[in-house]
Amino acid sequence: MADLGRFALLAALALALYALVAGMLAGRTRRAEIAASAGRALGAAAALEGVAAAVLLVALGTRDYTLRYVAAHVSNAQPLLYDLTAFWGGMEGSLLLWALVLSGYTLAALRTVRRQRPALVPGVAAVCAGTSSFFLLLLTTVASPFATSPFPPSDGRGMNPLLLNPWMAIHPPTLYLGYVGLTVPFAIVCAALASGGHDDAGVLVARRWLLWAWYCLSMGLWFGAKWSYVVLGWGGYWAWDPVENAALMPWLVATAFIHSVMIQERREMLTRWNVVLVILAFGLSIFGTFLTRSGVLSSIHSFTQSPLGAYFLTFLALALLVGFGLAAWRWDRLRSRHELDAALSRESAFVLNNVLFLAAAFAVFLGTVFPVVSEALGGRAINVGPPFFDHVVVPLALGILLLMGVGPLLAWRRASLDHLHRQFLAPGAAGVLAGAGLLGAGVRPAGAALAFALCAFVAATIALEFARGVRVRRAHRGESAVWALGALVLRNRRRYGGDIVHLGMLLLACGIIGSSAFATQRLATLAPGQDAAIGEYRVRFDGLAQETRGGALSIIGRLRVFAGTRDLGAFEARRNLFLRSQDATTDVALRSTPRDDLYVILAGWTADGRATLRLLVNPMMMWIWAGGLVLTAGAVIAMLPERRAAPQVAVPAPGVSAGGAWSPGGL
Amino acid sequence: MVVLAAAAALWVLAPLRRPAVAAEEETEREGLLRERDSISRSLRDLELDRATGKLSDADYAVLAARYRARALAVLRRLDAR
Repeated sequence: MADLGRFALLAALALALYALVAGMLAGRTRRAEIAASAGRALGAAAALEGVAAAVLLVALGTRDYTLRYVAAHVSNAQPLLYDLTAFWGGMEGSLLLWALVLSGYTLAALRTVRRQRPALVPGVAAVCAGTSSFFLLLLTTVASPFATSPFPPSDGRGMNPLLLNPWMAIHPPTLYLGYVGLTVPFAIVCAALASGGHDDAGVLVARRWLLWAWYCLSMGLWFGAKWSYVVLGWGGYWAWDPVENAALMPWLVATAFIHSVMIQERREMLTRWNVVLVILAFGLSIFGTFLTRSGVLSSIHSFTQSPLGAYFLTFLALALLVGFGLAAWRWDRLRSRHELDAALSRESAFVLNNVLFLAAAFAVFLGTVFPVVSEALGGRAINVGPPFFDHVVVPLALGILLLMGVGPLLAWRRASLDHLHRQFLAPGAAGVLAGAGLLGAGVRPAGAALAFALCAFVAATIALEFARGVRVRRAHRGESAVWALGALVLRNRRRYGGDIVHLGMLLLACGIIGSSAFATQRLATLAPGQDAAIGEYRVRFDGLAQETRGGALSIIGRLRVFAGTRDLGAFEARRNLFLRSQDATTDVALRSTPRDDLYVILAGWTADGRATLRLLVNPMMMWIWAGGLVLTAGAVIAMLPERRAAPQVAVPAPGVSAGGAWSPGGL
Repeated sequence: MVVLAAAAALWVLAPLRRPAVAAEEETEREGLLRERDSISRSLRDLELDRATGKLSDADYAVLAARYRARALAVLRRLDAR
């Protein structure tokens, strides 16, 4: 079986290399039959990667410990689901997943590009084949999932118990869908730049692909936050961990692109900027994979001991060289055809929003690589830690939040001061009232109250957007409010889908502000029957129990929770001790409501049956999870294909005004 | 495995045995259609901005006239093809 897997990957590498050469040749000679051959090679490579993936899955499912990868990530006690998810639990498997997902994307991209811009097919095939070749090279040399052991063990080590969780089962593949998805926009833009016949540099075709990748990254980050919250048992969801930052950086750049590409679509401006963002987003996706897979984060020494880091850095340098080299070559051609009409317009708000997103991405990059750079230069890793990120990124995030409210109120091209006054009156009043109300009610810290006031302002702008649209539609068509709302959103999917995404982000922002500023916690050591109060809750400790489950000895703290005199039921807080691997995991007692989460960790226990509990009340946590769901709804609406406009136009006779001849059917 | 490799190679190389065909280029028509869509989207935004009070009638008239002129030029070129 291992031989079949190895052969499949080697053959896939040969095919990908062939597709790379054939794609470049087809682009140069403009010969369709060579491009068709390159496409077939990529199809065959995808099939072979599928064979390799099937071999690995069978080996994982049957616990074939002759494979070193299986022995390292599967154990006899591990549930079958996690045996299978071990596919992406380790480095070699996750690289195979990268290659497999990329092949799937490549085939889909070739199909859509062939329909939309056939001239780009050879270039897209070449760039995707080049990227595939890199990952297949790793898989056939330094990171083979099919390496065998001459003396297989009777039982494997199994995955880190922290990874044995449904959220962790879906977090990495979703993140990968995002990371890998950024290859396609990069390939389209490189192909357009290389062929030279596309004034938009392929950016407009790349937009939908980048939106999808952005959505997957968003969900991957969201699943990761949820996993961190319920599994790690520290009470938080984000710690500026370098691995999390690795996904946040391309997300920030992709978010900037989603906004700036609208200016290119409408005004034929910022093409150069958008090209740079597409290249940067791809570069950061490779950089993120490098950070998480090279070992460089644990220590510069482990990085130098593993050849993987050097491979990644070389490929990253090559990819950036190709991308920026092509952009420099076509730089003059990408010049904007128009200029900003007014400083006060939606375009200028988007430009400012891009500056803030890029500044945030740069700050995260700097903070993430600082320990690596300091260790390389000074011999000692200096970790900047969460305070650096909070101080730099939080003000930028608040600026972005403000622009999220201001941007939609501004008209494209030119916003007149007179209208602006009317636009801002109601949302501004909502923000001021909310801020004054919260401060008056004694909400402290004042910064949090002001941040909530900003959220109220943004919420009012979003509500106003929908209300005005519905009102106009009702006035024109006499529809019911609900019908008008549905029709408005479906008829203007991108605009209102975007507004719904903003609503999701707003919920997320409220959750982050609430849970960061108002979380409370305490430590209590209790004997059975004793209780501890936190916030409005009272937690009674009813004693310890223990059980053996899934290779772990679980110590269980039995709890009963009360809110005032109301009995909220029985809860359990567990510590699971995995005797074989010496790992320990935490199952927290968690009660969630839209107002707050009661979160109890079993921190310790004594032989006489007492338990030390860490109790936390995290306000508004549910808003974060709800924000992710709303974001999904908005992204799906925005990604739905648009019906192509079929305008009614009457070409006027000479001397007759063109006014009124165009009917775009706006509402 | 050897048979599998040979079959894959034959399938991949089969298109090369066909007579040489020039690759499809993006036609001018496709570019014009894209520009038409972009203008249509811009006009729709403009209309919505005016209807929801973000744009004054005077600004709307100036901007819409510019877009309409561009649209007519595009449509004339499309019609001429």
